[in-house]
Amino acid sequence: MKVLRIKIEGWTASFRYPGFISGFQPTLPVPPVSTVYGLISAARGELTVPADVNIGYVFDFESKAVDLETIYELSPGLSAKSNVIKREFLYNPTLYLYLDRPDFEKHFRKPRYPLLFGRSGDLAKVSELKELELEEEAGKRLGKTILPFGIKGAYGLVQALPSHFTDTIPRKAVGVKPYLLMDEFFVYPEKCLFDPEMDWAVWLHKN
Amino acid sequence: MTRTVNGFMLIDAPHSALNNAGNDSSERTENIVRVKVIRKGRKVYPYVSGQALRYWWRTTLEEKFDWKVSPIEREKKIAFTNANPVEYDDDDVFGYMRALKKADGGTVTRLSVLKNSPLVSVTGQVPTEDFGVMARHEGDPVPYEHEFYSTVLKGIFSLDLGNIGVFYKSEKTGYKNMYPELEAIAEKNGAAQVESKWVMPAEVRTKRAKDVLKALPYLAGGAKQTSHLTDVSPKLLILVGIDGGNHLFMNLVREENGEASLDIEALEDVISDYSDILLTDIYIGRRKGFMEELDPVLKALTEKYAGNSPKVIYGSINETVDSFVQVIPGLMG
Repeated sequence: MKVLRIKIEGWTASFRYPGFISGFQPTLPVPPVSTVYGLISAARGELTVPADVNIGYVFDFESKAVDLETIYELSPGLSAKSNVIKREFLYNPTLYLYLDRPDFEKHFRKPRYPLLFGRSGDLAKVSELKELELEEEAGKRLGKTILPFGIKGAYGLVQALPSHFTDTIPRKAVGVKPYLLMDEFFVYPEKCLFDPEMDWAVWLHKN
Repeated sequence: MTRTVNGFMLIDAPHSALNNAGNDSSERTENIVRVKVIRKGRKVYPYVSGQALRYWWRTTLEEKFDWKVSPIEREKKIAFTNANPVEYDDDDVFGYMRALKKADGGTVTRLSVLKNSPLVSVTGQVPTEDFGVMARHEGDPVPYEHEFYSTVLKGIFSLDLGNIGVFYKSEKTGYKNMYPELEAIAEKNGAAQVESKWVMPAEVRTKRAKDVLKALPYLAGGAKQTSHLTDVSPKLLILVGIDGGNHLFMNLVREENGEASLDIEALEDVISDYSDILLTDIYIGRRKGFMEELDPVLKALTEKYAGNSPKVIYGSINETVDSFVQVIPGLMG
């Protein structure tokens, strides 16, 4: 299968848990599918949803740290209360993104909007674009990604997450289902798409 | 075409404590102020939050460039003194979010056209724990501790020129900048309505974009200035205009034998790999005395690319900023 592989690097990243509203804000260890569709939307300059392109990715980072951040808690009318919260973030993140639409290369060559890994300060860089052929193979390492819940042999944190958001006000979460956040690799016994250069399996989230 | 200014900077922070994490309640004594750090294995990398850098930037623009800064305090009956990018330069450049009553337009948000990374230490550090006392009163002195480090901090930023002074009405998160009263203010201030957006006069947009960059040599701020006095203006600055929203300068600096080192090869890779999206020459500024060893290297680079398009233009920080802002009007679109 022909895919486009995009390597995106940053210095910091933060992917919030949908359940945490106030207080300590932990980060998810890998970006949710919706965040990656957001990234593709930013590159393309228009809303991109699973119907437009299927995606797979492998995400890694070097360490985690905690930042203090001022937030403004807004309520309708004229009031805004400031508060200081602790926000966890990931240091030196790298995302290998696989798209089944090689023609999207032009969007990542000249992204329409600045690319970000979460918050507006998490600037990111497309550092490699490559079209390659993925074969299906069994018994390869799979992980450092998000997987649909229930995959044989996979383990990790289970979290209900949307597949994408609408671009309306307010944004609406679409396709919420349980996902498994795997922050390490395991050997997947079944057949799966495989990137021979990186020596890892790629889970393509099919629409 | 998206026209973005990509920037890279190094800030020299000898004996500094620019951004602190406060007290840790688990400390043995309860009065140590820690600096913000990222730990990676055994190494510790101090950093300054992106938010703190924005605060310095905004304050510098207000103090040095007379920017009309959006008031944060608001009186109940004056509803539209805030979230007003027409009259307040910082609301335009730094973005906003404000919940208005439904009748007044609902929640309005604006994405910041200026995006910046945190400032992160290039080299691993062992922050020094400094010991101090408060002893000006009768009785026992009160001891306290704080941390500081000596390092070079790296930072990048991008400025979206196409969206400075352009305000949207779209029902889309980050693009619902306008509310009815603001549209009236925009019209009064000479903004033109183009389809569903309002565009400020070209001279206002250009001035705001130029000021953002012109503030860099005067950047001031940071914690513990009384006892550490760090000049936080960039000592090395690279500026380029590009087509698109990529951030090209993330890998320009490395840790080499415990020192920060600018990777000229990585810079040349950017110039060759992205020549099709570079819209301007590459402007490099360096303050005398900082990374002095780079002087011959950067001069050689200028000569190497003399006949090239884009060229490399090298000078002092102020010269670099002054000549780069000259190309801004041509990039605004």
